[in-house]
Amino acid sequence: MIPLIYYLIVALILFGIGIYGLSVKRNAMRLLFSIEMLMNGANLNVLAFARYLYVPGIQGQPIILFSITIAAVEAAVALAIVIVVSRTCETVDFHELKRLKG
Amino acid sequence: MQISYLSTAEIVFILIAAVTLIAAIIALEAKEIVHGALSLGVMFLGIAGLYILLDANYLAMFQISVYIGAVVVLILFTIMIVPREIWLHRPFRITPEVIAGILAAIMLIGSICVLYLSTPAWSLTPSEAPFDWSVRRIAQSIVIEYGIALQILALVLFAGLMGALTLAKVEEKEEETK
Repeated sequence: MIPLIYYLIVALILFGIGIYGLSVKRNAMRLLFSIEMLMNGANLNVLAFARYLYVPGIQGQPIILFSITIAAVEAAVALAIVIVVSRTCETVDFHELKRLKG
Repeated sequence: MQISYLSTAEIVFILIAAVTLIAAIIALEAKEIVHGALSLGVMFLGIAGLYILLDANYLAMFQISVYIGAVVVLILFTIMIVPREIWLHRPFRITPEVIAGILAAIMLIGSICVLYLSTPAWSLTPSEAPFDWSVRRIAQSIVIEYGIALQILALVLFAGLMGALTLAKVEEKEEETK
């Protein structure tokens, strides 16, 4: 069988790619992609630990179902914000959006 | 000298993991945003494959139907709605920002890898005890153990979707002026 560390490292690299995108990219949509990557990496980590428990159990899977649902809601709200911002400010570059500063 | 061959499960795992990570990088670095969105879909598919390898078939189905069926389609519609000139089409250039971001990611990955390798977690293998991974067990667990969380989640879903609709609604006055 596949050792646990393989899954952990894949999840960790996915998380690292998400951190990179979140800190470097300026396009609103790319930031949303990065957040989705972060959530997927975290989900994969949780599921790997849940599967490799000493006593196998189903407890990890409902939590990931909830997490996926939250991620879908967050994506819907973020896309609505992107549409509104592109309509009112004519840009999606978050470095140029000074209007959100108080 | 003993040569250890990779087992079939390991080969499948490595292929799926490589596709997932490469698709994640392409999603961030593709020049056209549409290609990035499609590549993000490939990444979600790879994650679903890893879920299947972890004996979570229902979760894999859920991941595909929610992420590829809803989120990626929603992203594609948003890209189509917003005029094309607004999206930034910047070519990939090595700037100090990019170097700092890559360094941050590598330092995060490296430090947590050191943490992992200093624990016995790297050699753990799943227990072979027979266990019922069926949807019936998941449903019982959700309804019995996490019933309150499920109802709160329904409220969060409702509030989020109403908020998204209210945000994206075109105001009547705005429509008249256009």
